[in-house]
Amino acid sequence: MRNIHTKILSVLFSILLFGSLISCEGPGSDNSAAALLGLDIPASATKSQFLNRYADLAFESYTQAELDASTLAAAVTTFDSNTNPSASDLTNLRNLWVKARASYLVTEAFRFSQGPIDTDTVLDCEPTGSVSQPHDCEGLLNAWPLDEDAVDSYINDGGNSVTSFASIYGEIGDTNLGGEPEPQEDKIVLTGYHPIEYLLWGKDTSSTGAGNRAASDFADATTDGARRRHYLKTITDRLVVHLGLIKDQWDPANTGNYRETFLDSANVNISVGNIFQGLGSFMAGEWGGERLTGVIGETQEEEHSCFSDTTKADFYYDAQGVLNIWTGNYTIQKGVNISTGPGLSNILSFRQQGAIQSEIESSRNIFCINLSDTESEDPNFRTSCPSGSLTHRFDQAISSADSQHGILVNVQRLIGSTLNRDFVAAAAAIGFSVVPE
Amino acid sequence: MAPDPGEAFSGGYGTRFISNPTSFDTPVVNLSSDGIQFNTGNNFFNRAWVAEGNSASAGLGPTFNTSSCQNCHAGDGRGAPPDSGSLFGSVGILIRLSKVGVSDPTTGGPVGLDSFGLQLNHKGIGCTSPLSYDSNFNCIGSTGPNFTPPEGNVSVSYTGTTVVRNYTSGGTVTLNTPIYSFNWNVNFGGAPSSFHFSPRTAPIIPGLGLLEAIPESTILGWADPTDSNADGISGKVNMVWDAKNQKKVLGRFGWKANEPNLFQQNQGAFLGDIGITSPLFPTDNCPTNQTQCSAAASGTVDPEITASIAESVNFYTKLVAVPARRNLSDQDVIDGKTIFLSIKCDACHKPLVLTGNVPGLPELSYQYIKPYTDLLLHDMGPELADGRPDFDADGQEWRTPPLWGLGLIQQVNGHLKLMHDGRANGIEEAILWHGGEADAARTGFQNLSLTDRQKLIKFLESL
Repeated sequence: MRNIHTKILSVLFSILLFGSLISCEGPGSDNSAAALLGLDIPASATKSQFLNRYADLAFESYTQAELDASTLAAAVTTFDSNTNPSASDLTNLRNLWVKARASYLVTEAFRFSQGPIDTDTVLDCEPTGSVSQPHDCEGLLNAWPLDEDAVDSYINDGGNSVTSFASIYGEIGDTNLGGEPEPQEDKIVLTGYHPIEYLLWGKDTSSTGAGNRAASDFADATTDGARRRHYLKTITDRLVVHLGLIKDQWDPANTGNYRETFLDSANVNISVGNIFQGLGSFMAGEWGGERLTGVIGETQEEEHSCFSDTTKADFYYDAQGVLNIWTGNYTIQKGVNISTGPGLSNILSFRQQGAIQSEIESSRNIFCINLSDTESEDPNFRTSCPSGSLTHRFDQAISSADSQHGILVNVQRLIGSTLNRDFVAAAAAIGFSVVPE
Repeated sequence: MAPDPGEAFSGGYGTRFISNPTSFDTPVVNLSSDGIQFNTGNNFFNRAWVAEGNSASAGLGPTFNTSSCQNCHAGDGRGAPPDSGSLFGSVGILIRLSKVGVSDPTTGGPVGLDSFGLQLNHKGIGCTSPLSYDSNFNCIGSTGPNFTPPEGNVSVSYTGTTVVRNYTSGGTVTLNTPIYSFNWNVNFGGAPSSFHFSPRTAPIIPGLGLLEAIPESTILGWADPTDSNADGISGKVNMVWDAKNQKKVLGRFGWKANEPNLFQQNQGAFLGDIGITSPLFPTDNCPTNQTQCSAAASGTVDPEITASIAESVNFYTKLVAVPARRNLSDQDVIDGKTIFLSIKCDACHKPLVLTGNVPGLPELSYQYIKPYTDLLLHDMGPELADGRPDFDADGQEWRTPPLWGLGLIQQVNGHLKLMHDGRANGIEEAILWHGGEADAARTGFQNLSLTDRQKLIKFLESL
């Protein structure tokens, strides 16, 4: 909460400049002065302007995710060529994974919106794979939870060529499947961020911390060490490819891609409707839902990024991704806008926006990311945490016996209930329905 | 005659007006709580579990049929058997087992086979792809630390006896009976000398809380076990075991009404289908001579889901909305309902029911619903029989399934395989499979003109 003097000043300031306030009202600006005066401010962007910005934001977000994954992949390539990698080599990869994960998490708000990330009819992520149905990218990038034995079995099984992604991909899903439609299948997870995480950190056998795989697990002298490195390289390289495929669908330089359909003037209301529905699903189902189920279940096994113990970052950056679409700003590090433009909030009047922005920011800021320096390249989160934020590790706070458990309960309610309700109301105010599922 | 505007509200005030692939997967419109518990339950319903010994979300098995609720109830919808062949990769149908000629002296329920239990679990942990099983159900290649062999596998074909149904106005339909062949794990003694089995497909999820809210007195009022009114329809209550309260109570869920409430149904499915232990059923499902199963189970804290998770899933399954009816003003649909009543389908498929009070859940209380079921057991004749008694249900008796949502199964699940084992291809075949107490209604259907049969089916598709 800003102090009252600042508020009074900004009220005075906006009264003086009121004539120009509306026309100056840009994305991300502070509307609290108008709120105190009981004013409404009309929508400052058309739907088409917003959709163009959304497409640019998607392109920029996936470009960054691909870039950070490429940096990781390049380091993995070096790692793969080293027959006896050191602990610091492994730490370097872990740090790069944390960074790549953050820029991917920011893209998660694009899910559930009928776009290329998770709609296999828009983008078949492995069209030449041995699994006959089209496969969306999201499952290949981000499926969870992991059967660690399946990854280990794959690496350990001499009958497989770990250098071929096709052979790994061929093992995803039940190979004895009949012709049943998805999702009637048992899938195993062998690719994407979480298997990479498992390879870098190892099993989570600690009740309070992360996995602690030894670098020697990757040494040639160790059983499967070389194969473990090759496997890591293969799936990390493919991660980059999959992110690139999604990015291409949003690339303004390409024709015939999803962006073109998405921005077609005949599709404006469909595209906006898909975004509202998608974000609504993301809030209730994933960010404030699936990821936070442990708060009710209270079992440590519910920790989503359990190997690296970076689960708090999942919530922080998921919130940032929603905020990016809402404000139109592209931000990863707190307070640093990499680019700006009209967001979803800008097609709503000020009153129609409600308290959504502050609710997203609150649900983000509760997660003080408290990774140790060796695990994080993100300088904004190395300092002490503000009061009221979650300073305990997620796998501790998940238990109701922990003094900070209440913070998690509150944030689950804030995202899955309050924010979701306000978001549905905002959509309804301009004629879009968000059906909970 | 204009349609009754209330007709659309199949699931009372909670009815959701939606008809697309997510039709079975939304909360009731009148959900009064903050939705957190619903979302949490939904997430555990969708959760893909992994084997014991993993870092997150572990508890699958040691033996199991599938790894999540959602796998069988895809989109909260209906499961189906494969067109033919192995059930191994085909979730949505499972096989119940029991001993012949005995029932449990305490519960009155069926008794599981010594070596295989009450349900054939055709998968085991510790042999995940890329490994696979050999013909003896041993894992090929290196095994995971808790390798547990599956109990066997079952295949289905539709080459059994055919049933021919004639229409008075001309034309016939030939119905194919499924044949199941078993491949038992020899490690557990191979094929039992005798056994009963019953294939069961996964039913749709919407409206279960409303079915639970139908007062016992209403169901008992419909029951007529001795057919005292001589209308050819009996209707019998299945008295089943309530594991929490340790007594026999009225059964209402499952194809044989063999489960008393959702709390027990859900935790029973967690254990029987996925191998997840819960507060009500805290012991892993390992018959005594399955030593690897017992050894694998011992390493884990039981129960694998907490009481609060079990309660969230229970809350969720109570409050999934029933989708509204469609095409109500279509004259064929209006006529179809009249035909439905005239051939007395409503003797069992009750079109209008008032729920009772559900403490703490006004969303479900005192609602006029249109479930099209009486939740009672009926003798459905020898052609549909599974021959496997289940509490008071004999081998020919089945519970009337609700018909709400019927017309959206194709859209949600991409198939319309009906009846308890999915043998019927579509609504027409399902009607023609009816026998026993339903002989008269089925004959009534066979006596209709083609046009009237089509109208009846259009009505059913509007549900």
